[in-house]
Amino acid sequence: MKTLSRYGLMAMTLLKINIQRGLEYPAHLIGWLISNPLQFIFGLITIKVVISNFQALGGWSFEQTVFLYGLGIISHGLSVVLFIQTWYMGFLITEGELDRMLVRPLNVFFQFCFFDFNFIGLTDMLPGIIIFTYGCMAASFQFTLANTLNLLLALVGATALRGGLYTIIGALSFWIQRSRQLIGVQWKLFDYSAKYPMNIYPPIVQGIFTFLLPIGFICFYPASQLLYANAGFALPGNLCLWTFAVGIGFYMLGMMVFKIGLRWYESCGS
Amino acid sequence: MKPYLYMIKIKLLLALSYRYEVFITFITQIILLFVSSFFWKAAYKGIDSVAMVNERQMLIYSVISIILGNIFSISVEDSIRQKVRKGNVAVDFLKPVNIFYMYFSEDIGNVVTSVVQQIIPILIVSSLFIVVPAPASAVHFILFLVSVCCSYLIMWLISAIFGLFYFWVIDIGPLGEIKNYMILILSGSFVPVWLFPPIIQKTLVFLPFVYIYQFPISVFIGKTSPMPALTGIAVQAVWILGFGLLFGKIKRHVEKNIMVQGG
Amino acid sequence: MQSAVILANNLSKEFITTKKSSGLRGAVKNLFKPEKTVKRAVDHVSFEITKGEIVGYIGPNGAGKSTTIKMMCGILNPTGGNVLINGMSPVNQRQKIVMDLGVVFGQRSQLYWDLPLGESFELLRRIYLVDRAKYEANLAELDRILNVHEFIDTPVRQLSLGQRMRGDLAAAMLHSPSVLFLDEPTIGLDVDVKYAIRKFIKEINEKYQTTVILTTHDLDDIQALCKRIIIINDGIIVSDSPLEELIEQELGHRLLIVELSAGDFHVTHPKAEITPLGSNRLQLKFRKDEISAAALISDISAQYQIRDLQIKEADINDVIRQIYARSKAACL
Repeated sequence: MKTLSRYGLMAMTLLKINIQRGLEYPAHLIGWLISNPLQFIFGLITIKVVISNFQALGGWSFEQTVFLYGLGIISHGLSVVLFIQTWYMGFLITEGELDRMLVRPLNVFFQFCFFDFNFIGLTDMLPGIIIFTYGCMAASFQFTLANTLNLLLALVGATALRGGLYTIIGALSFWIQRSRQLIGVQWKLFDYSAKYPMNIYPPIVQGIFTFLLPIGFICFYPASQLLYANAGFALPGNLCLWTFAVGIGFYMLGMMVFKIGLRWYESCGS
Repeated sequence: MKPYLYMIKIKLLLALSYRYEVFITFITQIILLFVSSFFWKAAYKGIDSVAMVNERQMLIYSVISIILGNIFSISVEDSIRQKVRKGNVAVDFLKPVNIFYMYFSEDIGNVVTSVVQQIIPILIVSSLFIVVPAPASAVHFILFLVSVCCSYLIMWLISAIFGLFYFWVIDIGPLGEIKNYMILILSGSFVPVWLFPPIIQKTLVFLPFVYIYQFPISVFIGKTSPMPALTGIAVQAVWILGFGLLFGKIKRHVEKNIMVQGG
Repeated sequence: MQSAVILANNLSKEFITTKKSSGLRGAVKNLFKPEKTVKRAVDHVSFEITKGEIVGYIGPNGAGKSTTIKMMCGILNPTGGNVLINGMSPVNQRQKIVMDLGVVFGQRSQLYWDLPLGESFELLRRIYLVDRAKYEANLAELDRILNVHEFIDTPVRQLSLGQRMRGDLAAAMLHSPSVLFLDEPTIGLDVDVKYAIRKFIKEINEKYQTTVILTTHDLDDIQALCKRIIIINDGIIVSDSPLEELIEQELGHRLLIVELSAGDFHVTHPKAEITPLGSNRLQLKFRKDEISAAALISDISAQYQIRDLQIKEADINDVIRQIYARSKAACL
């Protein structure tokens, strides 16, 4: 209990420090405030243009796709805020930052998550919320109690799932010195999986994205349940609850891989 | 010429030594390739053609676009940024070679490398699993090659001009990102501009973006026939000239400033 | 009774590295079949450091210094042997040990680059659970020697290297650790700052009995601070002894340089080796235990008139160079 409150206090302090750091560079902040939303607006334009020229993708209308897209951006923004440092893990290792973390009397994983709390991610959240709100209205999503609860479960799950996958990929830098580009791969994967309904892919790919690398849960499955849209595979049970479970599971897996990696680092150095 | 050729060789050697990068970059490209092919197949399901382009042509469009994306990964902007940050760019200006030729050689080295490491494998995978990316005809192909060279020059000059910005503002931060997004969407790199509303299409004709991706690719798939293609290449030449002049002007200004302030 | 603060026992560390061949053919070969080699960076190293010692841990680049330090702070686990800090092993009790450890890596700062120095201090106060009163007292004490208040409100990125280093030292001492690891603390600093930092290390050592382990390439640091030096080369400890003893045993001789007034002289002495230096100057190399400097001077001044003289102590730089050279020769 005592350690828990200690870590809670630490997290608050680090939060404060990191906001202060961000405010040191107002020009950057404004830059990101323009560039990040721009990226999502362009994504939206792509979907609009294609659906209006062709047809609903995999049976998903433009409105439903916007809902899906918005949901994806929100969990992306949250994961950027919370887990961005996993993207730099290779850098932290080569620059000796990890050594520094090892000589501090705090849990190393905690330090990884909180010493570089990134509130730039909020510049993703803003357009995400706007796009999602529009999607909710356009796709006439009902904010009933059950729906709202499911939505929250899905968001927490999706964020944890992203965090877990980021952590796994990031922890690969313990073994592979330049895993940075792997993060690029993952980024592209997430980007596409979030943007388009997953049932446009052949069943084998859907299978991989469901059972092996479950990025379908990031927004496709929860959105398909919340909107009663075509989900490709007929998975049993509450898909939002599944998202939550898969997310937490992957997050734990990520922590485990990180721990193993750290042990490897302690025995091999960089 | 010699130092520039050596620069190309160095780039090749460097690229070869990064075996994980090579592999990972390739995997990314393949994912991109398959995702866009599934995307277009879903869009074309039960539809013959849209804007006089059929499914097969659209698939070739996306394959060629990915290949051009590889060719256009230009590093001049980044090179300058890193050097300005470390404060050793003035040293480069004092070298007895033209540093922009040096940067250009580096980038050409990158192109050669990516032909070997990425483009040929992408062509093979695409031919085996998606579509054989064959040009509409030999004439179309030759015109395509010429226009790609022009596109490359346009892209390179834009990057170099952005690179020069770093001399004024040490860190233009996300401004470079904004430029990249603009190019990606407005050049038709993923979704061809001919699918956009007519008013936007008409506006984009007067901007350089469509001449970077969409124009050469539509020559390749035969949507643009040889005569309009020649006109397009002429327009590209005008853009090269324009950006070239702008680049020269900014560069002279920067060089003068460096001499005065000593970097 | 003095207790061992640090106890290294047959400490060893092996690394597996991939060998990179050069040239185009080499690059292609690396792509398909990288060559692996095992390197023993630290090889059965044993030593004991007691409370209040300042120990210089030196060796040429790549000798295994930082690997040893990393094993002592728990960053790396040893391949063989063990190390105990205050009786605990960093392998399984790292968090407990580092609570009482201060670490400064001269080349890397632990301070937040964008924020005023004071913010980093506040954060460290919370990390190391130092209560407010203790923190204020410590800070006042550190400030007295390092003058950090001058720039405590300045963002770290605007500090000079010397100020940053002072900040880093203060940061490492805020929780008054009993052991301080300093990895090249004076690298790249000017004479004044070096002096201030040495003074600081000396004072905290005297005042709090802080045990200090210092790695450095600046042998003036060693001469000014360390009573004992451990020299490591190629992963093996080649010497571990008090500073004076080391100098004595490696270079027992001293140099007497005299300038004589007369133009024509043939100085000989049975207990000194004489080399003419030109322009009436001579160098006499002698051993302290065979003849005293005073006796030697009087012997010479009995025959010739001495205009000027100078006695040179053996230089630590010579000692170290000699030891490095010898251990390298032993390897070959």
